Parts: sequence; structure tokens; C-alpha cells
Amino acid sequence: MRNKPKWLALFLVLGLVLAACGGGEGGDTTTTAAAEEEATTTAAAEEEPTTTAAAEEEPAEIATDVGVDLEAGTITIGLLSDLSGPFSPLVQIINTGHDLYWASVNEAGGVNGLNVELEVRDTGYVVDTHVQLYEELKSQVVAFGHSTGSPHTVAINSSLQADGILAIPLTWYSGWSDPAINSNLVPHGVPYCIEAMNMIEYLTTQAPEATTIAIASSPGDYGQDSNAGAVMVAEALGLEVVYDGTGTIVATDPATLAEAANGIAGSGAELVWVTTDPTSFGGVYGQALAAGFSGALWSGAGPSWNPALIGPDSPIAEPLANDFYISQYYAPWAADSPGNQMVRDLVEAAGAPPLDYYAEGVIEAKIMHEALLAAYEAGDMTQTGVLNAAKSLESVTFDGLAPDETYVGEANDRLQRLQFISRPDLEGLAGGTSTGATLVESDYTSPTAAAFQFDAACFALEAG
Amino acid sequence: MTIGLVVLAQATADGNAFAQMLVDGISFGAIYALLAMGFVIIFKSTSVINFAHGALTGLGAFLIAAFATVLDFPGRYLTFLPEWAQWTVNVLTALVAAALFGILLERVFLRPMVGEALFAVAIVTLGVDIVVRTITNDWIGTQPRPLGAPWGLEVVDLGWVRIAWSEVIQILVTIILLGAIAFFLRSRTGVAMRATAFDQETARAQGVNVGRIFSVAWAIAAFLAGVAGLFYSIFPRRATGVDQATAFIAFRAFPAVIIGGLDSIPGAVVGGFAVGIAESAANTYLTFEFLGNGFPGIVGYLLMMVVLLIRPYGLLGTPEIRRV
Repeated sequence: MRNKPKWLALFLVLGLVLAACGGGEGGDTTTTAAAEEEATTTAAAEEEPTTTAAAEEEPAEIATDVGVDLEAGTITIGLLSDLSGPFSPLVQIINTGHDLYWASVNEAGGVNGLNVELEVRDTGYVVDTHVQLYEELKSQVVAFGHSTGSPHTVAINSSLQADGILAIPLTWYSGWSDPAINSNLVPHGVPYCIEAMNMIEYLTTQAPEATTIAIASSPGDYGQDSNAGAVMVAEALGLEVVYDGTGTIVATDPATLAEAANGIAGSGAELVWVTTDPTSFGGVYGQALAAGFSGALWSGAGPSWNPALIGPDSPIAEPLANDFYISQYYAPWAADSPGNQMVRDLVEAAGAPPLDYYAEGVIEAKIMHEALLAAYEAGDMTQTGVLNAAKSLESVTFDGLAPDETYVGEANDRLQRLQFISRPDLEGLAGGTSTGATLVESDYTSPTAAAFQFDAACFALEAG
Repeated sequence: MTIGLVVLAQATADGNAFAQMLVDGISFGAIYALLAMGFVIIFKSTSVINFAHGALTGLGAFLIAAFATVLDFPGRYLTFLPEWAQWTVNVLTALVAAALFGILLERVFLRPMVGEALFAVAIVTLGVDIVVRTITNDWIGTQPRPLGAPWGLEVVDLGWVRIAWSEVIQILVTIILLGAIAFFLRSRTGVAMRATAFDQETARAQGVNVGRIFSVAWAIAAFLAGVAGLFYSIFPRRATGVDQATAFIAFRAFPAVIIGGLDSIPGAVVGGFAVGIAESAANTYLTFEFLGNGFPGIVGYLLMMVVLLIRPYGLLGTPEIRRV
């Protein structure tokens, strides 16, 4: 009995060590050092850094405050990541994209000789934790390479503005296009709301006779912003919304999946738009199938898709491959573009498995890279200097990996309306030649989305 | 009462919808019942609510995915068997592994706590939950892992009701396990378990190996959690398989445990099916706009509150008698 506490402590420590060591794909909250070792230099990686001739000319004096150490030759960027919450499977891959990109930049000489290091914190997708970790990191980093979650980013937005720090939102909320909100944010990709307009209008081109649509989603900015766009485009196209399960689907609550599936199956809709996480999507789709619902075209916002839905042991693979259209903010893994080739080279050199989500990390890192180069060129690498540099970027190009972004001009000029559309690719996934998606449309925007005039977020999100 | 009358009125109007609702509810309820039985078995023997039950569910489902699809063990050596039988043997092996893991957890983390305050033991189970869930999630990784159930999308369509083959199997397995546990509780070990739950010290004085009873309880709970995780992670529930969120399903079974009575295995089964059918009824009939979306998700908790108002110890729980 006397030795119990020792034994207990020993096994607890053992368990924690196992947890820390287990697996190799996720949970990495360290800097890029590991990735630097992994990412052996490739020809493409060497070519990749976009240092301009102008930027290479060192300004007479560079102002710095936080997160840039000219003597040590380092730039520190913060990542507020969900590494243990509902989006952790995706964010872990996205962070690997950051790691690989910056490792390749550092190997090629860094940002004008300065090596980039990442300070990663796990927010667990909890707003309070997110705010606390922002407060911790703001005195260590020059900018935030991403801030995961819309309510979370809204919660730190007033602090970002007060502190004069830049953040890249890792969400596609339409509110980021609002000048009243985005003074310290550089969003990227098509917002959920516009995405729904694009995809649903595209579905009507594939099923011109369709007159009805069923919509369902997770609650919050993600699902509700998306479905606000779905309702707008349905009105514009004269589609009848025969089931509206907006905000119904809660990933951890099987009753809500059944509710959405029953609603969709009972509606007899010809088009279905479901915005949720991939596993919940699979549950809703599977239960609708089990209820005898078939023949409709399905789609959902980008994060609803995961190639595991059509994996070799997935029972819904074949029907889903027939019914589903994949919405994407960036081109799928196997797409034929220099940007995609660069991602493939980075990932293959690191020996990581092929997945689409690395691209998101690379895109975020590329935006930050351009901002750092512009700040260096302006001789101001303070937190505010990097913010100002980012907000002055007229064009950030991703070489076909994603649509170009601009951060100058009016809200409607900056609003991203372009996206990619793919179809499930069973053969490619099985044969290892794709990540389960075949590109069918690049830089696509629908007439409704193209004509959309932004004046406020499609779905209002409360601060905090 | 009003809700019940509304459901009753609509049920009488469409017999087919009622039958479908009932079948869906029983299918759902079977998963809740399996989870609730696991909670109750550990509570009955240790008087502790096991907060690590979710982690056991996720772990069990992961082990099944690993044995049945990745390793194909031991099925790969049993090629003389049909595919479905190989898969079944793989699943049983994974469930035995889950049960052994349950014993290991009990032996390492819980056994040293014998005699300590029950509150402290419950907190240890919280710690175990975090450790096991973290390790399991790391093993699962970022992609859902399919379990490779051989029934695929097959559905039995009787015209008036549709039910997936996986749900038919699930209900049959639940009934078999229920019978097996009822039989076990009448066995020598089962009686010892009940005696341990009643009074550990007296049971020990009568020669019961209390530690062994705890191990058996954790093994059974882990086995049942694995079975629940299996049926929750296949078509039509979550067709893509086990993922990092699978563990959370266990906490959806809490109302079932409370409704049935914390220390009653038949109560857990009744509670499980009651919650399943209540949720299914709410899905089918309580679709009024003023209720908003997500109402079926809270029906189990509403039912729990109603039951507790009428029977504070649950439908079949043991009333606690206190001298005042």
C-alpha cells in the first residue's frame, strides 16, 4: 500500500510519454525545427521562395519590436491552432503545410537571411483559451500565421486592433470582408456564403430540371454563414427550400444527425447542401440512404469533404462518388499547376502522405511570406509594419494552387469569389494517383456570386 | 404529457411512420443500452461512475478498425472461412484485446485507489479518460478509420419499414449480450460482483477476491463499450468509421443510465431503449418550427428529468434508505 502513489505516478508519466510519442501525424506543437530536418531540399523547394530583387536590397535600417531578432536572424510567427478540438484532424495537416513551407524557405536562405520560426499553441477550439493564448503569444511573435475559428478570431479582433498585430483567419466567414472588422485581418479563399452560391448554382447546371433543395448544417458561423448563402441563391434561382436544417448537426450528438437525415430524406429534394464536418456528413448521407433517399445531387462547404468518405472500406463510397460535388478553396493535390507541384514536392520530400489540406498551410504561409518581404522592403518589421505591409499587398499569387488575393481596394474588390470544384475520384484514390478528387472547374464563380454585392456578413457573428 | 399526446395523435395517423420510428429508436437505443450497461457494471462493482467509458468506446472501435481492416488478424490465417466470418473473428479478437486493456487500466490506475474516497477514484477515471483518449486519438490520426463491416449498404425493405442489416445485427447482438450478462450475474463470479457492490469489506471477509471482481467489471465494460463503438461507427450511423470524436458518444448514454437507475443493469437497458425511442419519436413527430432545430438532442435529458421527479433513484434503481 505504501508504494501506491509511486506506482501510480510512474504509470501516469508512462501514459503521458506514450501519448506524446504515439503516432506521427498530429499533435505537433513545436517549431519548424523538426520539419526542417524532415524536408530535404528539393529542386522545387529551392526555386520556391519568392524573394524579389527589390527585397534583397537591404534597407539602411530595419525597425523591429516583437518577434524579429536581427542579431539572432529569426522571425517568429504565431499559430493559434485547434490541435485537440473538433477541427484538429484538419488543422494538424494544415500546420504541417506551414512547417514544410517555412522549412524550405529557411533552407533557401530564409526571408532576406532571417529564419522563420513558428510558435504553435493549441486552442482546443475554445474561445477563452484562444484569447489567453493570444495574450501569451502577442509579446513573442511578429504576426499570427493563422487564427483558427471565427468566434475565436472575433474574440481577439479588438485586441489585434489595439495591439496593431496582423492575423490570417483560418476560417472562411463572410464577415472577414467587412471593413469594420478586417482592419487587422487578411482573409483568403471564397467565403462560405459565396461558396454556397457558387456550388448550388453549379449543381443546377448539372441538374437543370431541379426545383427543390434541402439544406442542413452545423451551428455557428461555419454552417449558418454557408446556409445563408444557400438560401440567397435558392431565392435567386427560384429553388424551393423543402427542408431547412440550418444549425441542426452537432458532431457529438447522433440524434441531430438522424434529425437532419430524416429531414432531407422526407423532403424528397433534388439538390442537397450540407455544411458540416466530414464524419457527420457521412452519417447524414448514410442515414438518408438507409431511409431510401437517392437520386439527388449533394454538395457542401469545403470542410464537409474528406477522401475517407470514399475510402476503400467506406460503404458509401460508390453512391457518394455518383452524387457528390466537392467544393474546394484550393486546387486538389493532383491538379496540374506549378503551385500544386510545389506542394507535392514539399510533402513528398518530407515523406508525408498525400493530402489536400497541406495546401491551406502553404497558402497561409505564402501570404505571410509576402507580407514579411514587403515589410522588410519598407524597412519596418515591427508588428504594425508587417500589418501595414500585408494590407498593402496588391496581389498575392499562388501559381494555380489557389486564386490570387488582393488586400487593397473596396470590400467588393477584395471579396474572393473564385474557387475550385472537383468530383470524387475512386480510382485515383485507390491507385494512389490522387487524393480522391478530380478537378472539374478551376477559378469558378457562378453568375449569382459574381453579381453579389457585399455590404455585411451573410450571418452576423457576435463578439466573444 | 402534451408531447406524448402529440406523438400519440400523429402515430395513429400513419402506422408506417410509427413503425419506422420505432425501429430507428430501437436501433439507436441498442447502442445507448450497451453503453449504459458498461457504466452500470462498473458502478455496481466499484460504486464509481467511470468517466473513462468514452475513451474505452473510442479505443474499442479503433482496435476493431485495426484488427478488422488494417491487420486482418487473425482472419488472414482463416481463409477457409467465408469473409464475413473472418471479419467476425477479427472483431472478437479486437474486443478481447479491448477487454484486456480494460483489465490493465483497472490494475494500473484503479486498483491502487481501493479504499480511497470514491470522489478521488472518480477523478482518477477522468485522468484515465484523458490519457487513453489522447493515445487513441494519436493512433487514429487525422482520417476516420473504417471498420469494414461486411453488410455494406444492405437494407431490409419490408415496404412498411426499412432497416439496415447492420442494425438488425446490432439489435440481435445487444439481445445476446443482455442475456449473457444476466446469466453471468447469476454465476458464482456474478454473485460475488453483486456482493462486492453491496459491501466491499464484508465481501472480502467472505472470501471474495475484490480486486479480481474489479478487473472482471472493467473487462466487461470495455468489451461492451467496444461493441457500442463498433455499431456507432458503421453504416448507417457514421459510415466513415471511428474518428477522434467517437469517444463522445458515451456521454450521450448518461440519461439512459440515470433513467434506468445507476445500479440496475435491466434499468440501463430500459433507459437505453427509452432514450433511443424518445429521440426517434422527436425526430419523426416533433418537427414544429417553434421547437427549432436540435430538439431531439435534448429529449433524452427531458425524459431523465421527468423520471427523476417521479422516481429519484431511476426506474429500476435501488432506493437509498437513510435514517433521519
